[in-house]
Amino acid sequence: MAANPRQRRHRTPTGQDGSRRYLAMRKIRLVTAWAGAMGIALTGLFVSLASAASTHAASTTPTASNQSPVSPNGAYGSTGITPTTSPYVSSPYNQGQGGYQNSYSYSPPPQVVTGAS
Amino acid sequence: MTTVASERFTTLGTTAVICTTEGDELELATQEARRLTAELDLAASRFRGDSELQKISAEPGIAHELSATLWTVIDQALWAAGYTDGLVDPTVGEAMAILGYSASFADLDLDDPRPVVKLGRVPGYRAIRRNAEKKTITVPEGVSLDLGATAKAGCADRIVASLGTSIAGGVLVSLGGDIAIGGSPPEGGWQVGIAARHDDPLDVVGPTIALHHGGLASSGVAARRWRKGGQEFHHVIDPTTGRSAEVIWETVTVAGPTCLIANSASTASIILGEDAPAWLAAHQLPARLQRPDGSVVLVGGWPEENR
Repeated sequence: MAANPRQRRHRTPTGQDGSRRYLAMRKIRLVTAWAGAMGIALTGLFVSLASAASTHAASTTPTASNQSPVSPNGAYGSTGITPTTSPYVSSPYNQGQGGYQNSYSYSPPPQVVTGAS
Repeated sequence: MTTVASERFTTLGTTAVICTTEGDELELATQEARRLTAELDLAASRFRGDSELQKISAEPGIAHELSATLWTVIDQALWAAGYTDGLVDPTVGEAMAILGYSASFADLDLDDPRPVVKLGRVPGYRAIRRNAEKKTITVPEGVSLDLGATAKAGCADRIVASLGTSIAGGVLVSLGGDIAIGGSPPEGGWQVGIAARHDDPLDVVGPTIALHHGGLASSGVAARRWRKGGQEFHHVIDPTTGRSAEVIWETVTVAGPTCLIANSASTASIILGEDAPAWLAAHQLPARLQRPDGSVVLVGGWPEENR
């Protein structure tokens, strides 16, 4: 019965030519496996470094070169910080006070003023 | 809407406004504000000959035991310096004097023809030595403290804390526009108008916001401006140059958990210039920054303005 070619490729070859072919194939397989492992490791390393760099950038005082764009109407740009409702301040126009709603000209009179002193 | 009682008086070279939601509590709140601001003036004034700070400045290089008030004021100033990475630095006293701000603003020559000399980086807050156990500080020779950047805001917080739960309802303390609140605010929050100057008349005040917790403060370049040697200066000093900060923002208003935090951040923002919005957002402080041309940047959840 003829040997299965797949089985034959994995069988230890005999003779000088077979031995050379086997060693060459084994070397190629080892190099391929090593390169694959290094690729995975390097990819992981680069991802970690990129993540650490972005965390560092977000946690340090901004400079002119890394500042985020800020639109004049207050929408905040690319730092990943989304504006949320502040616990400290709110608009007096959105508190269900009838005539004050969404109308600057009917704003409630201030009780006190803040500004440079 | 809740009726609010209020009282005004002059102190610390500016105007104090005290508001209470319960009319009967106004007198007590005002008395406490008068007491604590008078204590602050005596302890920390750079211009009063009899102030504790002046005595320390007259004897540099030795450890001075401080009153509880001055210890607290300096502690707050050093905290603000650390919080802002040295942007709001209490060792700007000498730079202020070189630029010409060497007397109370009311007595200042607002157009001094003499030239400005010897400008440079300020000594820095780390030059001050503290002993927390003995409550002493040592200010080295050549270092002059100016606590004006944080003293009013810290005092507003102290007045509110001192009143604590001893008064019913809510209280608002404004010292030159540096605002601290306590107790239960009036319905809809305390209504605070925003202006270039805290003493602007109400008909030129810009948008109004409602304050619910903590504190609110503004820093700006519209007040306390003067000329010396043909150059114009304002009172917010960039510690890296010893000069008035470059004017990118006319007024920065910040809200925060305390008035001291809000004030430290608003002053730092004037110095940071274009970097201020990102810094404020990173510190999760809602803020409104207005440029000299009137355009506005809002960050950190500051409410949109409905004009």
